[in-house]
Amino acid sequence: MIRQQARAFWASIRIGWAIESNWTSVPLYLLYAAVRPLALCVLVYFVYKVVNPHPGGDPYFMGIYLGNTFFTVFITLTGGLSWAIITDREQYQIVRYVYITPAPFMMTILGRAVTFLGIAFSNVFLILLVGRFALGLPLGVGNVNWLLLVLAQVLGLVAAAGIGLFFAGLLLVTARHSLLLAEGIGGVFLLLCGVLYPTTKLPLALQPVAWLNPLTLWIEASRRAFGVVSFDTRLATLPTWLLLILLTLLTGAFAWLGVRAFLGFEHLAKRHGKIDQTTNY
Amino acid sequence: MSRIGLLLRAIWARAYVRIVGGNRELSWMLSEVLLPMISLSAYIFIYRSLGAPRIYEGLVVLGGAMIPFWIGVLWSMASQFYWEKETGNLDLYMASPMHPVTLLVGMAVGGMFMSFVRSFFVLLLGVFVFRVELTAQQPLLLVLLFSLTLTSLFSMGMAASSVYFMVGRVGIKINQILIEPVYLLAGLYFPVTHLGRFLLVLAALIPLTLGLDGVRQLLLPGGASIGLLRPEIETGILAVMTVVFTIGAVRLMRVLEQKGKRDGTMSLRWQ
Repeated sequence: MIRQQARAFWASIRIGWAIESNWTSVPLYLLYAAVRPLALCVLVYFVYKVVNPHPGGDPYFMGIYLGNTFFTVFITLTGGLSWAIITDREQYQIVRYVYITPAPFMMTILGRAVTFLGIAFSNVFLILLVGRFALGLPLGVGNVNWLLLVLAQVLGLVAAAGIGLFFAGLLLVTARHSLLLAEGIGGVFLLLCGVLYPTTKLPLALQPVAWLNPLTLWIEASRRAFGVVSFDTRLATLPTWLLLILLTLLTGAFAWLGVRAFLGFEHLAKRHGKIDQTTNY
Repeated sequence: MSRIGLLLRAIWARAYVRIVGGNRELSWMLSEVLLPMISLSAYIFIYRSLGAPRIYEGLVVLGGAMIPFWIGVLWSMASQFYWEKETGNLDLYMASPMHPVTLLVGMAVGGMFMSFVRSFFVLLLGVFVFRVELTAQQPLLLVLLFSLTLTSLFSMGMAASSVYFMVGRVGIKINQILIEPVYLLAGLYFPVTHLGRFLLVLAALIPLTLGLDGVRQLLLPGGASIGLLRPEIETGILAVMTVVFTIGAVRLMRVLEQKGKRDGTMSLRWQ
């Protein structure tokens, strides 16, 4: 049983990679995949130039750039999962065929998530390179707390996958708004997670929402791993060990909720005959 | 039926879907206005956190109000033939008695209207939620510049759409890659003058850059201080762009339609 599921998982990763990239060569595809998130990061560089003509030397800008860089992982993962549901169901119309295979649908989706994860980290690497060599940010390898970085990424990715599963599930029962959800949800989290500005700059009512979001803590931990500690004055009061404990708890909660929600939406979609609906066509 | 009558009916038929159908579902409208508005808010908060002057918030709102037009050009114009091909409509269009260019014009007219409605609501939210101050200076020039921005943008979309007679998935990938990079080049959230000289030359080839820059100068108090060229000059360039892109669209369609038919790519799905 486990072997069968592992094979399905591996097959899904390979299919996901083929669907995304087999229209061009691998290096060109990786460059292509990085262009959208890179443009968003460079865009913030020009926004920052309004107040400082040399953002590269400003530690505050480094906090913004790093936040945006790691946030692109979330966008790639959740956006990718949502697109996977849309294309499989609406464009290629293969969802019903996935159901007649012995592997659970969830395994297919998780396999696709791994593909997007690989793409997302290739993007992060390229964005950091651009930040270091084109924008002049002090992103030296020697300044990185690798242990914290790895821990933060593992936890953050599980949380992001949980949120991604929630929205992928939601798309199974949503008609015609699929494309908007896939492209628009990132904006909501961009607003709420202290990516481009400290959470203290949000309206008071939204601040607790930001602090109870694992993505906020993930991004804060990623910044700290690169030595940026005082970007968000409120979060800076948390010692790193406490930040990691909170991140672990919130990640666990979000991952559990994401899986439960996905299974619930999947059940609803089957019950109402929406699992293979075509709405955008 | 007269030839002109047939042309007009075909244009109206294709535009109808977007003018009536695209605005009939209120929940579409809400999500298409609110979701972009949320990400736009993030850029307003970044300017507030940096203590930038209020004019930059207006600049972001105007940039956000132009997003529906660019998205319309990319998804409702440039890639439309891809979707039509996938659903099998393209073959039917080609078999009908109308001229294919009327399809493009209908798509453009409907797309402009649909984007305009969404853009208007983004602007409204920007004014009432973020208290952005807008003052129309030289209203006639503003209307002319804005209209030419739309015509040049959508004629560019018309020119790009014929490419889908030839390509499939690759075209969609190119479409996707033209979202955020164009936001960057057009200076959607910052004054375009901050781009270096090389990037500025590249950016000026996109009608959105000049149109947005002109609209900002004519609508924001003190907007002239962040402008690239005088709005009159930008209006002239946009007029030239409209003519060039429209002629290009008609010629490109003629050539690629024939090539698509010859190579058998016109109705090839899932390629």
